[in-house]
Amino acid sequence: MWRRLLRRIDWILIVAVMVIMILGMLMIAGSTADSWRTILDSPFVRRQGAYGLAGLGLMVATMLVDYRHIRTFSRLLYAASLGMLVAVLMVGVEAGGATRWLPVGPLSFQPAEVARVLVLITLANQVCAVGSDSKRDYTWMDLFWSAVHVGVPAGLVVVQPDLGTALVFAAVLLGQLYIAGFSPWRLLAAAWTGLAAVVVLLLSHVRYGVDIPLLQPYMVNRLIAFVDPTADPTGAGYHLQQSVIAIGSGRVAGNGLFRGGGAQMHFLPEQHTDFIFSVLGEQLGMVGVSILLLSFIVVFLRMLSIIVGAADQYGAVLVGGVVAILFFRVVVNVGMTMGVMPITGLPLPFVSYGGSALMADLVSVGLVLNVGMRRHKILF
Amino acid sequence: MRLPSIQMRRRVLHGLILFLFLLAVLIFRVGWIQIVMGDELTRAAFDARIREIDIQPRRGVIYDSVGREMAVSVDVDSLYAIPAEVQNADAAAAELAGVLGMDEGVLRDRLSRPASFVWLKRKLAADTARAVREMELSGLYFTKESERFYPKGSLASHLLGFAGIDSQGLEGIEHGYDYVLRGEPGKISMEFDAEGREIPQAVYSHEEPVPGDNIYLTIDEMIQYIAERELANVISETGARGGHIMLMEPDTGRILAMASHPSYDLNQWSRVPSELWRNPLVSETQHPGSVFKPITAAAALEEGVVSPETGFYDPGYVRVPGAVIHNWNRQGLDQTDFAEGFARSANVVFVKTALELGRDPFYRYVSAFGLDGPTGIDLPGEAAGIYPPRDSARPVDLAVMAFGQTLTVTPLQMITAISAVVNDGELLRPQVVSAVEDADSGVVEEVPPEVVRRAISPTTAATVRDLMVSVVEEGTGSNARVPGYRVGGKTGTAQKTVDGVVSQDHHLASFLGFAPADDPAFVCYVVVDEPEGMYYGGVVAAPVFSAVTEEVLRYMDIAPSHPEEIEEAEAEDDDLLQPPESEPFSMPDLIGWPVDDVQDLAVEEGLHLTVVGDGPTVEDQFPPPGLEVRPGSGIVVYTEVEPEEPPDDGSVRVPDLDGMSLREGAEELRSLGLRMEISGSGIITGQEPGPGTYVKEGTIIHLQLGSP
Repeated sequence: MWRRLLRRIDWILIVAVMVIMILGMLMIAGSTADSWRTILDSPFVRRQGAYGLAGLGLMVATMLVDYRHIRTFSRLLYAASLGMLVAVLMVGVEAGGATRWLPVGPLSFQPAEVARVLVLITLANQVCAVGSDSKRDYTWMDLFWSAVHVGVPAGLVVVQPDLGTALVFAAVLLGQLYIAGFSPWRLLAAAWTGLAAVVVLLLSHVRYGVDIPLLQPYMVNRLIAFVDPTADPTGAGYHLQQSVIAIGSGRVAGNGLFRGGGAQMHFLPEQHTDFIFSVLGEQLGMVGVSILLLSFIVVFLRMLSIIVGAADQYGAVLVGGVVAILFFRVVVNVGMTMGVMPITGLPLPFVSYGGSALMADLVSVGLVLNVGMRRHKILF
Repeated sequence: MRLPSIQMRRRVLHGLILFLFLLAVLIFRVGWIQIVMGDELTRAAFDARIREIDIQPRRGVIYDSVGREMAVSVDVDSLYAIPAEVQNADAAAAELAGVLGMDEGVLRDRLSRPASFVWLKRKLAADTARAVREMELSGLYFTKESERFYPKGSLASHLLGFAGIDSQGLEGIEHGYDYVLRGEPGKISMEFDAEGREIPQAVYSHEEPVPGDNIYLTIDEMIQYIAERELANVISETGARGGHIMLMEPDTGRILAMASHPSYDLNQWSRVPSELWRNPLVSETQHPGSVFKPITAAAALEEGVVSPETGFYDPGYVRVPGAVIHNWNRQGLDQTDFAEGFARSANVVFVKTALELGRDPFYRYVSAFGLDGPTGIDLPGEAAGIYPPRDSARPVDLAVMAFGQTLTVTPLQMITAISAVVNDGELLRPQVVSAVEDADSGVVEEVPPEVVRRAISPTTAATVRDLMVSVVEEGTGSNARVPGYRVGGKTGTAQKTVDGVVSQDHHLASFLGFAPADDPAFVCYVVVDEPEGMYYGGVVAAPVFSAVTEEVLRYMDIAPSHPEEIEEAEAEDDDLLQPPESEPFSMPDLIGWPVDDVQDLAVEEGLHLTVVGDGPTVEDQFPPPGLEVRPGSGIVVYTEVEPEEPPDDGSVRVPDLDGMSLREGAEELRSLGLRMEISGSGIITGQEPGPGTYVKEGTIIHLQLGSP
């Protein structure tokens, strides 16, 4: 049985993820070190390497337990994620105006990154009936309860405040309900309603100074800067301009690793985390960008094929949530560095520096591989 | 409900299409930014890191006709800040306020301004700059700017004009020739990171400033000095409001001297009323009075209306329709001829001549002599005189214009027209710049004289000159005589128009003459504005002409045609008892004198002494030894040692870079055309070759960097 499972591991997916991770390590080096010789002097490179290895270990561990067994712990996992998110608000470490870090002994982690993986498991459990598939069609009430299931942890994340990660929860909701079989039109209608509510709130804030509940002024500013990058040249709009300049200056071949002013001279904000794609564009140019995006396409293609081949609805929905999380973050992060998406502070999966996100993403890949290994038929 | 496999596949396919579409948008956007906008953004990325520091060009020198410096540029330090690098703006402002003599609040504001560059104070005195350097504050830098210095103070102030703080010419030659003198600024581009820190191995470009070209005036400093001295004398003697004096070379149109009183110290231009800045010789019009008569005479002689022998009856007045015109002294010459009428400046003779000549020919000659429009001199702000419109001019207008009233001209127009008579009838465009020297190549390009037109025939011109000589020999201009030489001229006593009415009480006393009579070297025009007491040109202005002409002829080394007169005059002088205080004083050779001794001498002789520099002994002087100065005149001594002249092979002196930042040192070396090589990091602690040695341009100076 183990041999069969091992044979069914999706190696292409693993290789594609590894390629992206290696590109990420290079870019962290390119933005925090200044030559090959000094790469290991960069604490970011050393730490990200350790997180990567630990994450790969967690990924393998995740694959060992049958995903159907994991769902039996759903109540516990949901309670754990809410507990973490409440704890971080009470005893978390504040940095840069947001409380995102929960200390555990000498280390600390971001509960929001962990919670989005756990909620992925628990929401899939809620929308998929246990045992044989129900014949019942999904109703508006199912949609409502699913939204509540995701909305509670998401709300706790918004008040940290961390708008970007909160939006990831919404992506999980849409992705999983779509794969579960919800009417796409209803999902679309719900999504539009939510979006419209946000736009109305923002407009009323800008035009009439109406306070927006939960949202901090800086988050509102980031959203406004997306609409008009020149409105605030020293703040968010300035970062966007510097990012576009950095990417553009890379042209086809790039300035070369460790070269280019955006990262090396600190014109880019958060160059090794949120704006690492700009560093990639600047240092490795169109070539590096193409390798990264093609690798992501491979990752998505493999995951989608695992959805199609999944042994049950729960497995398909689980992977649907992972795809939604990864895809949403890739599009928003890459888009924001080029001014086609708002600056939301979402890191780029597998690439940006950050241990919690990297490990959570590798665990997610482990879940996907888990579903893929336990499929019931040959994949196309 | 578990989806049937076929539906699931469709959903996944739709999802895939959405993914690929969004990724395609992103890839298209990357391509657009990196390929289509790539060049532009690469430049933007470069610009964001590059800060440019302007290097002011050296403004060209203004020399007199033989190369004496009239306006020079000296390098002074200007202080600027890069606010991002200033560590403690409050403390820095407090410390600087006292030294710079500026308000602390203003400084604090500038030091914390969100700008990449801000001037704190420009053109600092040397000791102030030194004091600021010693503070060693972060974020403060000096740049060399060139400041204009006029070594001769007020000499030729109206002609030279001055340049403002940004080295922009504002008046006179400085303004009119600004495009020649200014040069083009250069820039140093340095690379900085987002926090404003200089990048250690920054690539930077260096664009040399193009220095301004040098100008040679037609003015001779000595002649200018003599003219100004005599003008100042007559004004203080007669209590006049002011006056003008101008000397022109008739065969080239070149102006040898040009001065107005009151003048002002060009180094203090901002402290005098701006009315003083303009050059009244080219910008103010006045009634010329009888010095205009040679023009009327030339027209009438050329047209054959009169000859010197033509007889006139002069009862002392003449009736014209609407007026009765008197002679200046209300006395008639009875039966006379044109030559005598000219010599005695009889208005009646000229009125009759002009009426005989007629209106249209009169206006035609006014045009021919260039009196109806600007002369086209190479100075800014030139005005032109006003005439009654030709078609509405009545006989009485013509009659009065014949002796230089009603019409107005600038002094420049007047001397230019008379120069044409002296120059055998050819009118030249007056000019004040004789040559431009290219600062790079040293090539001197002469500005050639420019003939405008022939106004009258050489014969007529010769006749008018003879008439003018007789004015001095036997007429109203006897005070203009110069012992040993024959000179010609014409006196003038014009009534000024005050508040729109021709005044009986405000006069311009003038004399316009030339010397020597047989081969004129210059034309000289003297105007004294509202002298007290006697106001006739022959009494007030003619002696000035005489004094200036005598000295200028001697300076020009023109041999006297009648040397015996000089001995007679000297013998006569010996007989006369002259009051000691007005005795001219011959300038001794002051070079090497202690400044204190010169001060004592100046007090003793009643001279206004200006000391330039603060050295102990005199290095140079003005006027030079042997020249006569009168009490009340100004003299200048220079004490500061001129910077050591480099050996004459194009080598440059290595500056002392010790203690400078690498950037300052690099700027300094590049401004001298030297290259550098560095080792270590920090500030400059050593250099090879050492300061003060002379090396060829392009030599590599090795700089040792270290911590202070």
